[in-house]
Amino acid sequence: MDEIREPLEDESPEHIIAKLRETFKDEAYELLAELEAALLELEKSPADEDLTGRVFRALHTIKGSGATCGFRDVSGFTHEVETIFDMVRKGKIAVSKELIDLTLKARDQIKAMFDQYYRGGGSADTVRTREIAASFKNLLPDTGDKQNAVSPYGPRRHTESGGPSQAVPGKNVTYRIRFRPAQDILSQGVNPVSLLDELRRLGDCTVVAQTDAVPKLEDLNPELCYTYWDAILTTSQGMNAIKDVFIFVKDSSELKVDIIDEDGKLDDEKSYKRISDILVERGDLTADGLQKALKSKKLMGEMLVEAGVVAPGHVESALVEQQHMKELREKRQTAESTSSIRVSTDRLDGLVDLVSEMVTVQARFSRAAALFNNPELLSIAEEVERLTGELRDNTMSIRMMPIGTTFSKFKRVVRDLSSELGKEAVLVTEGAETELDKTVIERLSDPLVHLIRNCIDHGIEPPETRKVTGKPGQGTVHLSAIHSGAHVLIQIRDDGAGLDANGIRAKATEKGLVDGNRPDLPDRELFQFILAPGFSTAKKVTDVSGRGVGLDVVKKAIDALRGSIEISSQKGLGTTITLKLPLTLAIIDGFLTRIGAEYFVFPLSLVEECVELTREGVKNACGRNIANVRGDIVPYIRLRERFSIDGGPPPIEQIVITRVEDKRVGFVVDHIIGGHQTVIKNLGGFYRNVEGISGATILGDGTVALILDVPKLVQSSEKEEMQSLKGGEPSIQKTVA
Amino acid sequence: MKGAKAVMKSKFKQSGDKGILTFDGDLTVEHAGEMRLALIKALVDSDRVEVKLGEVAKADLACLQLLCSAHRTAVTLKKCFTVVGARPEKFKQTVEAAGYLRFTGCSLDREKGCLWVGK
Repeated sequence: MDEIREPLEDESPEHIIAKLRETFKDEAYELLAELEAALLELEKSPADEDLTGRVFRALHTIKGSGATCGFRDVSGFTHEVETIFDMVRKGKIAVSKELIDLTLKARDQIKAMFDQYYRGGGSADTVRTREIAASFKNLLPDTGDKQNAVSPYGPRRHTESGGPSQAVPGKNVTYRIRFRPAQDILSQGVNPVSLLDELRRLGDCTVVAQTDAVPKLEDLNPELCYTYWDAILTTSQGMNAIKDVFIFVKDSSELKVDIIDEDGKLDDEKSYKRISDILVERGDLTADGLQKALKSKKLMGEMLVEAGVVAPGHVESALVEQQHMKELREKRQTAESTSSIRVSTDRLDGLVDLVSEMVTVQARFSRAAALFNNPELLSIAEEVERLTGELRDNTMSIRMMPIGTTFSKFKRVVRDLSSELGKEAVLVTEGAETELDKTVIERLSDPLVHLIRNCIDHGIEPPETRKVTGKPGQGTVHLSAIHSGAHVLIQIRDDGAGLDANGIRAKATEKGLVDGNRPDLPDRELFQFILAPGFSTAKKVTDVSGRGVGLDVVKKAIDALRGSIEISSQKGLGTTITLKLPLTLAIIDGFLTRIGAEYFVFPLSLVEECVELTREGVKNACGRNIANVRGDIVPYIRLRERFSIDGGPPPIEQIVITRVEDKRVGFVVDHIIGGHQTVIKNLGGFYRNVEGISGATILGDGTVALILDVPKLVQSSEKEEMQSLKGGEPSIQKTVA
Repeated sequence: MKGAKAVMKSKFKQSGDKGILTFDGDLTVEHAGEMRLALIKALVDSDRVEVKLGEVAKADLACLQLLCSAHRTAVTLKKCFTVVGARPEKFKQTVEAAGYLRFTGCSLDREKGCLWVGK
């Protein structure tokens, strides 16, 4: 059966290649991540055949798809690596640390080749490519294989030691079986057809009877079996199950079983083998016979039969095999395509923008409907609001990605860095399935790498030191992610030396960051100082941590994601850094308020309650910015003053009480409007650094409302208070009546 | 019928230039010898043999081989051999189970009369 090609549009080959490459882009990097993850796991469990299979498949797909997309260098280079892993699968080469190291290097080199095209990352070092490829060739055993690289596509003849003999759950293997029973099988009381039925029960099976040995009537002994069979079986039951079917006739019959595919490894080949290839592999056709047939120009099967080199039954059987594999592949590909589709991120971002606009227009519509006060219009507005809300949630959920996609990168960081620093450390991850907005994940990657590097460099002690203190020589960095309401908590925990609270206190005092009069400053607040620019208690700057990127950069990145960092540590036991991040950056549930003519939005997730602030209440507080809420003293910030808004407040104001880092802080506004789906718009470059404002949104009537950066507002108010305390004038007294 | 001996019946009738051979009962290896003789006789007596499968209770591989062999013999003798009429369910099941169904006939099947193609 010839390869079927989809007709392509009338485009230049360069354009087609460019389109193919663009489609392949995401997959390429995903395959590299999968390769890295599988290699790191294989290092831990070198005997695991499934992991070897994972590495092989990733390499095989990179090679195949790379070639299709015109990445000849990638394809050629990957072939060298794949060859070695084919031998690993066959048990000819053992998995060693050297092999893993080399393959990780090769993976990085393949990435550099892709980067060169996709990210304009300079040219990949061809000398290095050649060196790595040569190193792989050197790993080949001296059996002449160095000259004749192993083809991963040829069938593997089953031997006692090869192929999966046991059932491998979930792993489908396709076998080509030829069963030629003894001629007297019928008189032995065995019905070969029932054996075929048994074979069919093992999986997806196609059977073709070969009748070329059936003689003419005069020569036929009706009690003999002249038929033999070819079967193609896809099963996860293993070789032993196949053999068991024929166990009672095995001594008198001829049984040949070849593996022709393992778990869809050939799916990325454009088409399955040609008829002639199958026949040659089966031994039904010789090379000479093929040459003879090729002289005519008919369909291959017809040519072979007409040339008298193959029996039609064998062609039939080969056709059946081809069809079986085609259907198997289609089934697999259909299953894959119905379970997920790949959409470019640009399209997804476009969709989110449209939904954001839709949310804004819906707000306008609801407002207009309320103004007209028409019951029918109001009813439609409510329906539109409900649908828009669902559309928003659905669209946002499409942007969600499991954070685990980045975890393998961190495993590699831990592996390489601990090896570089002569330490022993392992990364344990948890909650890889936790989903976060795509943009958050992308922007989180670098800060996390930095934090993990810090753990290894400053946290985890050298093995000798650890053993002295009764710890295992190998340190553990624990990375976990968990949902918590509208946030995701990402925790990086190590069992290293922990932070030196006294050292930090001394340094902070020296830098004037902490009031010397406050020795009781809790550790939790004290540790926040390590996030300050230029703050380091390290005696020496290492190559790892001395790259000019401090923890302040991490803090900036997390702040930009509207997240927060919390640090806890116990000296000698380890440090835990918790990042609290919003689920999404595009649309949030907001809480709309008004001060004079200005509108402000609080992230609803931070709002706990609202209480009234009367003139009397202010008076009772003796001019201090505190409110008594059911006996609980809550400090508040007057936003009217904070943002210098003209005009006087109404007689009764509102305090929006929020919770920031376990503290309840109120914000005084004139009026509360209520819940509001807030499409976050970035402020222009000019306003980007305005403290206390994280963005803006457009209201139904076109008015702009500012989104408050509540933690930042609290932080800056505290800072001001500290400064005024230093100046001997407590800010708490600076209340405007 | 419990305890009843399995039977196979064959009947040959010449009708014009064609001979119609009808089989009923158990078309199994136990009766393969009889079936073979009936087929040989039909091919000797007629240049155009049509096999009708009547009330077939059982059919096995031996039956399929016999019919296949008869067709091959007929082709060699330049005679015509076909299976006509509706094929009984039991027979069809055996053809399928034995993997006899196919897209193309054997190398002898120049006239495209293979009994197992697309039936």
